[in-house]
Amino acid sequence: MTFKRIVNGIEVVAVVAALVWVFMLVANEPGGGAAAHGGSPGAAIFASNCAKCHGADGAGLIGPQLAGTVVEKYPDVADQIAVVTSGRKGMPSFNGVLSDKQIQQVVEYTRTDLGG
Amino acid sequence: MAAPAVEHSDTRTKSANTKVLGVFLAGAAVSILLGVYGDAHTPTGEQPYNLFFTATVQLKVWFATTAVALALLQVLLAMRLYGKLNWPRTAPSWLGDAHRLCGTLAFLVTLPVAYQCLWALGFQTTPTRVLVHSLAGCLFYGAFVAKVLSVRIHGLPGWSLPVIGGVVFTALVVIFLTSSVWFFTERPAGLPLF
Repeated sequence: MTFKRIVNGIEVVAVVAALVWVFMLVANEPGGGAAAHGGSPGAAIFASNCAKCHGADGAGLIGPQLAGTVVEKYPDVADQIAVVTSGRKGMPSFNGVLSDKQIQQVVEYTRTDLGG
Repeated sequence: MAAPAVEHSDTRTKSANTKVLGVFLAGAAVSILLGVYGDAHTPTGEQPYNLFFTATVQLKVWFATTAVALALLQVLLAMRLYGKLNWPRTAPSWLGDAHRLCGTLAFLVTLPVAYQCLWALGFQTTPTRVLVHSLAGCLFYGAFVAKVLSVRIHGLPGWSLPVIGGVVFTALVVIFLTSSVWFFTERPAGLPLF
């Protein structure tokens, strides 16, 4: 009987947690959209396409850290553009997803605004 | 004399079918709503929490693994409840409650995982692994709602609960395979396991 009560209690907790979960998803919705992450076109492209893996601030999530590392890793900007365009290992190709101009803008953003 | 019995049986079948349809529609609505939210929402790319793990991704990987372990235990307990397993020989009285507890705990540990997925990453369509993961994530919660309803609503056909339970478990395993197993086997070099 006691065990049943505990299980019933945990079920109530689960229902409350589910409601809080839904509330938090809606309440924490960022209002500014992608452009709010910086203002430049590169910032908006980064927020929509890159932040998922590399983090909003480029500090890295599943993908590696970009902030403060890309210029050293890719002294030639063309090499970084090639990686974004063609993909590499876990990094998907953005060929066809982003235009050449957008790729250039987002790469530029990672090398300047994001801290190179 | 036989006609009223047949009529009664028909009415019961119709009622059961209506209930199954209602359960299915409720589950489908939840799945679709989550998918639409994940697609429409602007991913923040942030890591809202990591507890004692290196980062949120490690937390998610291990929480998802815990959820699958609990779900597996729940399936085993269900098999004993329905007599598909004969061990232990005498089923303890608390078996049903233990089954419910495993499912509830599995659901609870998925919540912080799914929150980060939806809020920080959104519904993604590339690469294929991530698309399958996104779809399975939406399916899981829809099927979970359908399962909870099918437990609570009486008069459903006998096949509905095992089928819906099977969908919940399958979706969770697909989520696990496309996230935790991927992380364990193919994570980028240098990314800590915990």
